[in-house]
Amino acid sequence: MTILDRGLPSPGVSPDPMVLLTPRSLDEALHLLTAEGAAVLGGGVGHTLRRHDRHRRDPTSSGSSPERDAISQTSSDPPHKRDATSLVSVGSLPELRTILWSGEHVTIGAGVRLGEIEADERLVRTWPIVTEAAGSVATGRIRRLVTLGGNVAAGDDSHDLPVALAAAGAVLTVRSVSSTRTLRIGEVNDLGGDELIQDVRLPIPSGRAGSAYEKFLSRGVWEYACVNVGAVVRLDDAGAARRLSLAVGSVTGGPVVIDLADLRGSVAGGVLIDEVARRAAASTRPYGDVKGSAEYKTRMIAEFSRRAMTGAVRRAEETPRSGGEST
Amino acid sequence: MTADLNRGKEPMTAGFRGKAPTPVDVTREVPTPTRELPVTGLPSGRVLPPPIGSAVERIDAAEKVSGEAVYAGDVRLPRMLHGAVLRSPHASARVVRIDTSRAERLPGVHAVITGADTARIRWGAFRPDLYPLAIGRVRYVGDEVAAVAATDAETARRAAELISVEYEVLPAVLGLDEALAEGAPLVHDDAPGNVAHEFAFDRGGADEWFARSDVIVEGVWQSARQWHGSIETIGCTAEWSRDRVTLWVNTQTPFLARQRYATALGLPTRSVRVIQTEVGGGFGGKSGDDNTSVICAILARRAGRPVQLLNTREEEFLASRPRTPMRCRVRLGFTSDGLVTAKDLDLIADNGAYTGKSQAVLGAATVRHDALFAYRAVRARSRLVYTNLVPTGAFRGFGNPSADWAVGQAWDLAAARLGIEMPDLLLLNAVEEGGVSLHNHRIGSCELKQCIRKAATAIGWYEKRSNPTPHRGFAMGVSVHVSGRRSFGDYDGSSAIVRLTEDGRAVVITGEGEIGTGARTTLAQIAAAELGLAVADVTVTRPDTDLTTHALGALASRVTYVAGNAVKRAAAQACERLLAAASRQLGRPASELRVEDGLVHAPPALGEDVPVRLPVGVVVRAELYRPNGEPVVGLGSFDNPSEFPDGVRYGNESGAYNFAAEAAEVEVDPATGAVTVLELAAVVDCGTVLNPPLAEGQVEGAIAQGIGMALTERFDWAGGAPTRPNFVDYKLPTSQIMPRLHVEFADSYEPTGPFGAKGVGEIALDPVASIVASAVADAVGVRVHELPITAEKIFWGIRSATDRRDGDRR
Ligand SMILES: Cc1cc2nc3c(=O)[nH]c(=O)nc-3n(C[C@H](O)[C@H](O)[C@H](O)COP(=O)(O)OP(=O)(O)OC[C@H]3O[C@@H](n4cnc5c(N)ncnc54)[C@H](O)[C@@H]3O)c2cc1C
Repeated sequence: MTILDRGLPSPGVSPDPMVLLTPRSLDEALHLLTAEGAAVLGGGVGHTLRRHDRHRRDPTSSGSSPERDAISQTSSDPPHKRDATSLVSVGSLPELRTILWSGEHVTIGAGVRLGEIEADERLVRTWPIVTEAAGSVATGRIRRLVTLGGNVAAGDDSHDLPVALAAAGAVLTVRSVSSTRTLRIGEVNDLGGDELIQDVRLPIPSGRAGSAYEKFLSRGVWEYACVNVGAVVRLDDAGAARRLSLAVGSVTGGPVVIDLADLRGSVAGGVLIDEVARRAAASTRPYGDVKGSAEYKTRMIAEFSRRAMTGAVRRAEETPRSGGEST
Repeated sequence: MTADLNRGKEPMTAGFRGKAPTPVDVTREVPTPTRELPVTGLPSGRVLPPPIGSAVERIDAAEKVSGEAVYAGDVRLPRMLHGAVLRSPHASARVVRIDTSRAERLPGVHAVITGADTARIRWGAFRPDLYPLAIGRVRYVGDEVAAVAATDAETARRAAELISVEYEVLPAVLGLDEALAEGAPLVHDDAPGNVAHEFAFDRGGADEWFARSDVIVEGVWQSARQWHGSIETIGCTAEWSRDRVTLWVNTQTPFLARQRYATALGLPTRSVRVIQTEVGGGFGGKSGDDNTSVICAILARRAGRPVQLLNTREEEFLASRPRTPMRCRVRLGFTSDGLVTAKDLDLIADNGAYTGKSQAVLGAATVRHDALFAYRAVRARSRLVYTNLVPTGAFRGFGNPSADWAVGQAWDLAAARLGIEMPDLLLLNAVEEGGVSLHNHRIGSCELKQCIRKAATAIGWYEKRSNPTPHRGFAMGVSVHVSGRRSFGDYDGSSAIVRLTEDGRAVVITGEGEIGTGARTTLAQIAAAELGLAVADVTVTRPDTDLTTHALGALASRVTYVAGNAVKRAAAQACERLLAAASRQLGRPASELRVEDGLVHAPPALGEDVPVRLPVGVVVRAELYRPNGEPVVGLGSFDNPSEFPDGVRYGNESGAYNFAAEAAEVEVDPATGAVTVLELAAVVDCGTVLNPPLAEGQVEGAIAQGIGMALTERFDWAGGAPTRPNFVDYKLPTSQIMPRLHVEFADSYEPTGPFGAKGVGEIALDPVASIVASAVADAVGVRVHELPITAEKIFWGIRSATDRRDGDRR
């Protein structure tokens, strides 16, 4: 890191030595989290960089604008992001390392690595939006470290998994010693200091469903998205959209789930897709950064919403109709 | 007017006094079918000794891949401390007060220094304007203000954070226009108008030649800061013994750095010893123009213990010496049938806050590319301008890529205007052997035309251009580079000592060093070839200013050519002495003896029928182990046969010029503006290719850096500095975006080079950005004038073209 004298006491994470705790069970982890200054450690990628760079936020994150970095104050941060003095490692807890399939849901443990998600064949078939988002994160080396819980809990609008999960309607199971509750992706900043994400639950899609993830790399090399969009549809046998959802990341307050409720029932074709793209661009506020100006990103949100929705519709159309041949 | 430039009139000045451009058949050069040439590019019939032209394994390969190599940060000395630097957060400010007391009280801190603890001497390669630590003023975000040495790096960092500095923020100039504006704040009080350096010339009467031109093209192009992005940052370890300091530095130029560091420290040169560590990437960035080593030395003196100071990645971005951005206005004149007449160049370069090498970079950018074509007249005005931004300096290409960015695109515009395919236009005007440019560049070996033809063939220029694919485009560019350049006084030489050892090996003692290019391997090949030894039996030393020969180091693509010649001469002399010794020992005339495979060979003695074979080591040992015995040592030196250019850059800067032609095919996604470089062909004339994989590596790496310069490398800026000075924002190109490459070497031989070789380290970078831009223009009709070429710029360009078309329809 570089020491730029700001005339202020260093706003960064304290470089004091931290304690690393490795509980053997989830219960033990939850107990350890009740201590003052304890924080959850997933893959440790975000923590390490924050400590190295003494930033309040993940310095690699593209979501935080410099202004936001500068004004960040300990008091305004959610408790789980305050300076930690001990880290409770949950990335290897067996309870958090599984992908479980029940009749209606698939439940992915918060300790599952992005690389494992990307490679899970059943997930690839049911929720390509999720495996594509996982596979689009950084490089293989990073994906072998980063946990699903860590990627989501960071609360970064540019992260890839939250965009896909928001579009897919995922629900987070959040645990503390004394409670179990659920949160939506957009509510992740409500996590308490003694809470952790146990898993992420997704409905198993039925019928003619399709999903797709689009991450635009404006320079062609791996990095955080210029814009990232996830789309999910379910079609009826007549080709009308019964379920329709789209989430946009790398925008202020993202991932933003676009309101498409009134479009349900329309035929999933060019007109609908254009309208989805128009709404996505109109209802999001991207910020300018090294990957492009806000104005350009708005255009790209329209373009990649179109591509994601087109991809999702194409996949839905490829699944067989429930009622056999109808044409 | 017609193409006959000389009708009824003597030529005012022939652009090239050697061969006038042959009024060649403008009819398309038929692409010659690919001849299968050995990759060594040897002219047919010339026989060279075996280690020359073969894929000799790098002599440092094993120690590098096994992690044994000692880089700057691997140096460990007993009692060594670690340093940290406190830098200015302001682009321009007065330093009112510095309070170091809290830092000094932190346990583990051994020294805290500010400008008051330095010799208060300004230093710099060409224009001394940099203090080791700020004296009164800071001039860019990252300027060094104070420094700490402590028992570990973390403590040093914390102590640096405890220093409090009171600044009075001053107005800053954060761009060329601001710097040149009437009444602009001055970056340095002694540089009125913020001009650090300027020169101008008109050679050949540009106005007259423009008046006689049928086609004139013009444009303004702006390049940007590009960082070296070396895998290893700049670093130094300093240790004092009485009043002499030894610096272990990963510098490319140990001897030149020593001179400057001594100046900065207020010491005589002899008080500074520089030892080169392994260098994890140089690319010009480790040429010793920054303060890191100087501060390290001062800290070590203060602390009375060795100190190591390593740039963090962020410091490397904020305070190293990136590529000099330039704004070039170019005008080119042509006859209607495509002969170039005149060039006019107005060049403004961004020096940043202090002058490192940018003054020399500006010189190269102004004149170098004129060695490519038979211009009749060239006019230039060049200015180096101070700004309150990170200082700039040497980067692979040294001015050429920024100038080529502009001039190459102007040539592309001209080809379109003239309706001549680019390879044909280039062939029509390309320089040949014996040419002399308007600046007195005297061209020796030159296979530029061969390069152009081969590059056109490799990319499939004529076939693909006649069957265009939507959104795909082509472009070609050429470049010329030096093999060494006279710029640090009237000397661009090198010397070497070759010592033969008692076990039959050779040690090459040279101060040139290794920055990762494989230079020590090629020097070993040259020595081995000359001595008749195996490469494995040759060692090449690392530079140590106390122990090795003097050398200017790795810059200007000079080591192979200049040091190669010195090593070759030293080896030849050692060999001569070896044979003289063997002659005495055997009682045979030296003319009957030769060395091969580590043995001295002689025909059978009179009356014998077995030829004599004596191991080299036996001869050396026998020469030593006798009364008044002597070692077998050879000394060789070579000075580049070049001229020290004068103040207006007239003079033959190098003894040999290398050339390249490159062609690229790109594809643009019209919905986003994103560019994919599909294929890139590069054909390089570097004389004899001494070691094909090493030469190919140089070409491929240079192309990658060119693509980075063109497409990916940039920052988001605010307040005069990158908002995130790290690799999250600053993207180097990766294998993901590398095009399919066709790398070839011209069949060429440089008579003044060692075994016919010339430099190859930089040239392939030079034309890349320009041809990517021209290919994009060919693909979607949008020409980008400011680097980098972003998807966004292309997107808006396409949009405004569509909007214009829509407007016309309405
Ligand atoms: C080079 C690089 C490139 C990257 N590129 C991308 C990219 O393209 N796309 C992308 O999405 N991300 C990217 N990332 C960011 C990475 O995904 C995040 O840093 C992520 O948050 C790291 O996850 P982790 O498991 O290592 O988390 P940690 O560092 O362990 O934790 C991150 C945060 O989450 C909290 N946390 C962790 N697990 C839990 C849990 N189970 N419950 C509650 N809180 C928890 C921690 O307390 C901490 O605040 C990149 C990172 C790097 C270094």
